[in-house]
Amino acid sequence: MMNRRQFLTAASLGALSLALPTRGLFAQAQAHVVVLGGGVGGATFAKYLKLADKSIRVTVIEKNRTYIRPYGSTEVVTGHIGMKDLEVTYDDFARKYGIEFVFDTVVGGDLDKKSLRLAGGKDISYDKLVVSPGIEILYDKIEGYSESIANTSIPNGWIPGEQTQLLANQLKAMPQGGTFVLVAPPNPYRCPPGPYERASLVTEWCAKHNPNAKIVILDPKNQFVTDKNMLLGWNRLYNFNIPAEFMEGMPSDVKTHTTPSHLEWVRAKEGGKVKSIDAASKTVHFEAGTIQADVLNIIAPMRAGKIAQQLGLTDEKGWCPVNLTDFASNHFKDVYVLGDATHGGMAPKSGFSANSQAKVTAMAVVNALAGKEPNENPVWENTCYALAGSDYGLFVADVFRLKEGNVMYRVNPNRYPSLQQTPVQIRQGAAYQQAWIRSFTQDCFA
Amino acid sequence: MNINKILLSSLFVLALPVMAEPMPGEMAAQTCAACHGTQGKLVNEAFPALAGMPKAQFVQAMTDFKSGKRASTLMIKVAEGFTPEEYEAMADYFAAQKLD
Repeated sequence: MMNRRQFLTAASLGALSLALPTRGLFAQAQAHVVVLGGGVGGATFAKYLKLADKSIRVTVIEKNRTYIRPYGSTEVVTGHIGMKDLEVTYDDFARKYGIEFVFDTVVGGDLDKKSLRLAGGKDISYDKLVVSPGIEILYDKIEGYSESIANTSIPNGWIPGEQTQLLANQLKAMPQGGTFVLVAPPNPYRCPPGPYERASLVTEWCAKHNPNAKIVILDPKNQFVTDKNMLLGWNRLYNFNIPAEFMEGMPSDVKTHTTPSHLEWVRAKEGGKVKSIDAASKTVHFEAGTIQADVLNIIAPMRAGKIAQQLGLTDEKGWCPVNLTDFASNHFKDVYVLGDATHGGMAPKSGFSANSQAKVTAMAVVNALAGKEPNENPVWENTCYALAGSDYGLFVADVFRLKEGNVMYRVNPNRYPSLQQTPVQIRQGAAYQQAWIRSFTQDCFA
Repeated sequence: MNINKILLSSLFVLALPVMAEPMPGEMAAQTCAACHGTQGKLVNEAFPALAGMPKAQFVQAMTDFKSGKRASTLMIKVAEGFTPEEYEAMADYFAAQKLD
C-alpha cells in the first residue's frame, strides 16, 4: 500500500515525471546491476531487465560456463534424455541481450559498501545486486550421509550433475528384483512434486526393464503437493492402493488391488522418517524399521545456496527473508533475492516461481533506478508440471498476488487438476510438461 | 494542483482504504511467457503464440476459460487469477507484439 511519504512524492513529482519520462536523459553514469547466479532466476532477471531498459549495464556472475538445468533432470535417471540435454550455455544469450558474464565465484563482499569480492581477486561494485543462489544440500543432516558418499555411492542429485548420471547408471545396473529406495526431503524443498515424480518414472522404467524390482519412498511427511492426483495415477498405472485419507473425491475406476504394488510410500505416520544410514551396505534405518537398498537416492534437507549464507542474506531457518512487493532483501539495501533461496511468501520453490519473480523484480529494479517505488500490485505465477508416468501428466497451478500487510495469497481457488480429468486431458498434461521444458528454457536462457 | 490540495488529497487517501495502483498489462502478460514464450512469441506444438493475437480473441479466450465455457486443464486456474480489466490490458500488450 502507498504510504503518506510515497503518495506525497508521487503527487509532487507527477508533473515533473510527465515532462521527463526517461531516466537516461539525466543519469550521471550508467547504472550497474550485478546478478549473482546464472540459473533460472538470475538469467531470467538479466534478460528481462535488458528487455525493459537496454541502457542499464548488467553483469552476471556465474561459476559454471555450462549450466545444468534442474527441472526435468529426473528424465536423465530413466534414460529418456541424456546429461547433454540438460546443458545450457550463455554465449548467444549474452550477445543477444548485451549482458556481461563473469565466470567466477564470489568469496565475500561488503554489501553495505555495495561491493563483492571474486575468487579471482577482483572486486566488483554495483548499484543494485540481485542474488539468485539456488539451494545448498545439507547432506550431514542425515546421520551417516555426506557429500563424498553422495558423489561416489549414494547420490542425491537434487542439484543435477555427476550425481544424476551416477543414479542413472546405478538404476540400469540394479540386479533383477532389487530394491530402489528414495528418501524424500522435509519441507520446504526445491520442486515439491519432484521426489514423487522421480519415484513414478523409476517405477515405470522398472516395469519394463526390471519387473520384480521394488521402489520404496521413505518420507518424513504425510502428504505432498499434487498428492491426490499422483496417487490416482499410481493406482491406475502401478496397482498402488490409495491410503484411505486420500480417497475422498476419487473417481469410480479406482481399484483396490490384491497383488501388491511394486511402489511403496512409507509416510511419517507409518514411521517413514529416516534416522540414519549405513553407507557401506546401503542400509537405511527409519522409524518403522530397516531396509537394505540396492540403489539408494537420498534427497537430503536443503537451505538457501551457500553464498546467501556467506553474504548474510539468510535467517535462522536458512532461507532469505524478502519484502514481497519486489523481493528486496530484508537485510541489505539495494539487494534483491530470487527463487528457491527465498521464503517467497506462498510461492513454491520451483523454477517457474523463480522465473516469475525475476520478471516482477526486473520491473521493480527499473523503477528503483529511476527513483520510483515498485508497483504495489504485483502478480506471480507458478506451474509445476509433473508426471506420474511418461504419458500421465499432472500439475499444480497458482496465480499469487499481495493483499494488505504484504501478505501473499493465491487467487485461483483450486490449484490441482480435477480428479475427474479424462484420459485425453491426462495425456495432454504430459505433452504440456514436455513442451514446457522447451518453452521455459527459451524464456529463461534464450 | 496547489500545495493545499495535495495535502488535502493525501489526508483523504490516508482516511480511506487505498486503491492500489493497477497492475501493468505488461507485468500480467509476462506471467504467460514461461509457456507461451517471451512476449508471447514462441511457436510450440502445445502452446499457441500470443504475440499479435487480436485483442477480442484473447479477452474471449480468457473469459471462456474462467467461466468453464471453454474446457481446459490448466488455463482455468490462470484465468481465475486475473480480472476482466486485466485481460484487456494483457490483450493490448499481446496485440501490440509482432510475431517474428
